[in-house]
Amino acid sequence: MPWSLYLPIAGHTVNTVLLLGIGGAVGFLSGFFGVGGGFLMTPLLITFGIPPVVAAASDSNQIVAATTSGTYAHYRMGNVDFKLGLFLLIGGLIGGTIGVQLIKILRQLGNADFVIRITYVVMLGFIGTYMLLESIHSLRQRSLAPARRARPRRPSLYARMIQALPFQMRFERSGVTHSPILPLVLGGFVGLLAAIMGLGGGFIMVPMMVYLLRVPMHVVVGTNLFQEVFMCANVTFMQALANHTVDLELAIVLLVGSSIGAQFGARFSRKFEADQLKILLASIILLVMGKMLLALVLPPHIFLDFKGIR
Amino acid sequence: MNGRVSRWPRFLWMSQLSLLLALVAPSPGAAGTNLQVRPNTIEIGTFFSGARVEVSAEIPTGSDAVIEVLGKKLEEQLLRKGRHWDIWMNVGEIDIEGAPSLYYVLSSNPASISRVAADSSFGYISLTKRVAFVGDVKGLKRMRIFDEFIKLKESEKLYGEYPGQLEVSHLGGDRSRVRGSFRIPSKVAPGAYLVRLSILEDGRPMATESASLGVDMVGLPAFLSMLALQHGALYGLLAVAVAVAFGYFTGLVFRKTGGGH
Repeated sequence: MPWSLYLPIAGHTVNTVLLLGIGGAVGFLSGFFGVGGGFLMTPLLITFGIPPVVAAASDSNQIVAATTSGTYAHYRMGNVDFKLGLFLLIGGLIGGTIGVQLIKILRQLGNADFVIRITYVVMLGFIGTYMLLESIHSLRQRSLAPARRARPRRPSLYARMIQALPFQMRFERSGVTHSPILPLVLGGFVGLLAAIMGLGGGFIMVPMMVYLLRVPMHVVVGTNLFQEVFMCANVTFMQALANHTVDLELAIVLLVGSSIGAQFGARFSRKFEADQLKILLASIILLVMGKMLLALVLPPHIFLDFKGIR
Repeated sequence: MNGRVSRWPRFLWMSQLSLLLALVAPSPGAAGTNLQVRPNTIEIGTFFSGARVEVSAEIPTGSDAVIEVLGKKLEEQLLRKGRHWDIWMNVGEIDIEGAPSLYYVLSSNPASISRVAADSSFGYISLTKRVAFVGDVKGLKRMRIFDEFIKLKESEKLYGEYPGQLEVSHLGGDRSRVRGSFRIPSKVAPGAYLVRLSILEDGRPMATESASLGVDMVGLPAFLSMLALQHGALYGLLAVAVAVAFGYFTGLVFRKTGGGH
């Protein structure tokens, strides 16, 4: 078969052009939305016959390239808040470590599979729906009369709560003032979920930063990519060391496609308004959630599956 | 991880199977053996996408022939899917013992591979006698698990039944030649495989001959596999370094080529 590439860790042959195409498309979305793309790439790789554990680990590896490329592009545009990113990263690493231990316990109890799948569907469903509704609402608000929009409103309970937190500090690039406790806790929560779900967690982090940290969308994109570089580098190293599931050949082909795709995605994202970006991302998240939900409720073709890589 | 650890025994049993073949069966081309396997070694390189293997042998005219290709018997760990609160998920683990990792069977007479005769010596039905299911099997019929296992193996192209796929040509006198081929998929594991010819008269096996088929990983895949399994930390660092370097390099290239900022 022309363009065939044998993947030694996956133990499987794939078409190089197809892999480059998948990498490019997901990389484009990564740069466009500022997410690592793991929630799209891993299911796609599994669809093409890559064992799930190899798909997830190799995907983390290629996300390192895509997010490095994306971070660089966004850094040049002034979209990376390093200070905020550092707090999110520290929280994420702590949360990730707790998540890995939690998954170990759940695996021993035999409930890990159920917890992972349900977490996916619930998180994707919640975030996608909320993001979609909020963006549509925001677009509608813009068309209302300026007087109505300018009507002063009392700060929400959430706003008053986060303002009451200690050690308030200014995050210049993001244009917000928060206690560092907030990004640490949010980073920890996302890191915990990301470890359970085996992803970089960008699709959770992006909405969190938008809605809970109130950071402008373009800074969210760059800052999330920055913290994902380190999160995914850590996962790649740990997977290679402990599980031997990183397929470098697979990752290299994917990262060639995704790094280039991410550059185009980052540039293309400038042509869209924040609400349009959010509606698009929410639609993709809901599509993935729908596919996962169908896989959970429809009877499988074969009632047995191989465990791990053989 | 279970999967990765289980890959190593393949290298161990390869030598064991080779030794077994050397003891119990004449090698291809040796005196008294006419079973030919071409190629008898398959190399898994960077661009490997599976390989077709041709088999041929001389048999007495009027006899039937069955050729089986068998991988080493492995303990396969499988996950059983079940419904819980209207959701399909893995609900238990079933270990399958005694099933070959790979199994193809070709015959000159379609009737030699029966799917119904319980005493059949060839085909999937013959495997049922050698296979055991251990683990979370309560509430499931044995044949149901076996059928699902066969479906799973066939979906990976690691099992196949090809009744009547051996062509017979008369050579003159009382000798005939049987010839056939099968395709080894890219998912094949490196190791040694047994190719076994059974000569049948009136449906009963009268003689058997064996040959070996080797599958070796070579070149870049072999190097990366060795590095990943034996030097995980180095491999992990290399993987991260390659990704960061490539991502940064792409960023630089795009900056130098201008771009739309």
